[in-house]
Amino acid sequence: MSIRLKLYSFAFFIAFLVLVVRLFYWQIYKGKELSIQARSQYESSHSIDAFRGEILASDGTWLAASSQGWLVYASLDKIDDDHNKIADQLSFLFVQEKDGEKAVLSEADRLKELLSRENSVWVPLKHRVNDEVKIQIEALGIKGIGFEPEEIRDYPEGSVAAHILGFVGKNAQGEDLGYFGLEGYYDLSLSGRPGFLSREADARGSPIFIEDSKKVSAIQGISLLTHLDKAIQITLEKKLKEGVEKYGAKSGTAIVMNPQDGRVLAMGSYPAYDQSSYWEYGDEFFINPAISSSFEPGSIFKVVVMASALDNGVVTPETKCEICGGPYKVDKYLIETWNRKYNKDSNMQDVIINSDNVGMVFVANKLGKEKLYDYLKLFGFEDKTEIDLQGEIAPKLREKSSWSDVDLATAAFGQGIATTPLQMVRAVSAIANKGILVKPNVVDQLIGENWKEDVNQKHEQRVISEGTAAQVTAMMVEAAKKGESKWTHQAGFKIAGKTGTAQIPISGHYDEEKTIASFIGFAPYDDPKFIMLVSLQEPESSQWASETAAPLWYAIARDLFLYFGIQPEK
Amino acid sequence: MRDRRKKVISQKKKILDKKNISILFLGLFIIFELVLTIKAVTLGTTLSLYEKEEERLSSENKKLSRELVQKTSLAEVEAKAKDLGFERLEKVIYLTPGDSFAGKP
Repeated sequence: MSIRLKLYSFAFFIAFLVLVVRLFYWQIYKGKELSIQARSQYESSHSIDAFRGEILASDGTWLAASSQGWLVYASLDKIDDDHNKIADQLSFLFVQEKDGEKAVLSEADRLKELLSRENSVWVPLKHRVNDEVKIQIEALGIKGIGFEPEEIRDYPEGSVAAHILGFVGKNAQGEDLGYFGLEGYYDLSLSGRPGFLSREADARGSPIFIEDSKKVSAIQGISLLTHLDKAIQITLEKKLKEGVEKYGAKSGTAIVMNPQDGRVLAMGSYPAYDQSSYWEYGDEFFINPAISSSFEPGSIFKVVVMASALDNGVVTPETKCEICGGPYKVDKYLIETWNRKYNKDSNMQDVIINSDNVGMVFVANKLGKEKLYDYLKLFGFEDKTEIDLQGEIAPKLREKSSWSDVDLATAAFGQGIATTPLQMVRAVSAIANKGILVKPNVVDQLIGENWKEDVNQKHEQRVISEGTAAQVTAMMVEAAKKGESKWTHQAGFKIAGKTGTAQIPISGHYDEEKTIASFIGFAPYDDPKFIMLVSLQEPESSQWASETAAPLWYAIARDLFLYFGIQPEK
Repeated sequence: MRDRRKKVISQKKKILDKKNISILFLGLFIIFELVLTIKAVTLGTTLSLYEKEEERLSSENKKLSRELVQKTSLAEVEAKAKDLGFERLEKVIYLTPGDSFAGKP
């Protein structure tokens, strides 16, 4: 073999060896890493959005809806412009004009801080901006500023029904989560579940069909059709706000419900909050006082105690009160009437008309502690109403065995006993509904992509006889016509109602000045279309419900008469 | 003459032998595979175009839905009604059934 041939052979051998080593390096040593890099180039995967379900009013219009928004982010390594200049430009677009110059400056400072972050490549600048803002930012042509689609929760009626709807915030993992009200109670149904698509794609991103693809379809959030009536809700909130301001009350709550089936038509409290900027409010604003706060109901409770006594047969409407001639002493306490006027020959109807505390002590004594306790349990006072809203509480009744004579006497006129406004509405609904207790409910139907399902929330229980309900209704009709709130009564309309002024317990005793003024009533009393409770916390113009809560109740009711087409009797 | 005939037959045999048939099938298979791949890539591009169109329509749909949601809000309707000159009623008069209203004199 010639030397030349040997040299060629050697060179080929070396070249082969180099090739083998190189192949080993790329395919074995670096193989895994390159495989991952390659996969990221040809494999395209993305999540499929699942929009949160809508919340609809009873007429099918929107109370809450989801729409497309944008997350504005900065890729810091791609930014060429001066950070301060970008911050100044964006701050004007991120802050609303009404917030003023100070807010713009503060936003600019926040953006400057974000843009000058070290050791960061990608920084989120602003969540949930709308299309208009996105277009304006794009027009600025700032290099390194990008957008990612993001869901926006819209509340088209502003802060209307805020306490019923709740809001959508973030959990510890930064994911959307419903808090309070319907958003909280139905969060799982409303949320839906995002899907996922993974497949191989060519250099232009087009899918390659000859390879396998994996797809998990998104499950869209379920929408809720509620019983809430927008017109009633807006009227109620508007009048409640006016009432709170007019009577100088600390706060106010009102509930409108159909007593025959428990459909909640409207529920509102003032002050409220704006769901679209919930972070600007303190936690105390988020609590729905109608279901999450307890209060001593005062004289509106008398109708429940009277119904219990009539149903038990210990009194009749004609029964004469034997102790109504003057103040009545229980243990070391003296029970007086609200106006210190005493009617010796009062019967049970007069007791309700005059809202006579002494007369109610007479009724409670006739009934007895154990029976009263049992009736209160039947009226649902210790249990949650199980309304489909997050955050409901149920104040406990005093232990049956621990009721003293004073507890029995004060409970007779609604003091020393705690209830939520909704529990109170539910109990009086039983009187309006011929003795049958209903379950308050907000959602009527669940609506999916191609299906609908009725939410069966019907739960009825008889608590008093039909005759008793009619007797108490008749007393409430007379109380509305002839009681202390008669001056504000809407003559001619079939209204059954009762006022209640409760003193507020502070540090173990009742405050002389501060009261909770309430009015509860339903109309028309023979076929009620609505029951409504109005409750004002610490009104300043007058401590009496007849001068505050009652006129406010009638102001709202007048609109409801028109809305429901309720005609006067004559 | 006979020799020439034999030569032609043997040439025909050569063309139709196993090797050539295999090459033919392989060629056809490659062409078929190529056509399929081109078809698949074209379909991918078509699908990609459809997906982009779907995305555009979906985005437009969301935009219109949002507009609809905002336009049907009662606050918006109330403002519009006010602009159009509608007013809230201030007093309600109920008529008894017996009363003649705007009747003939």
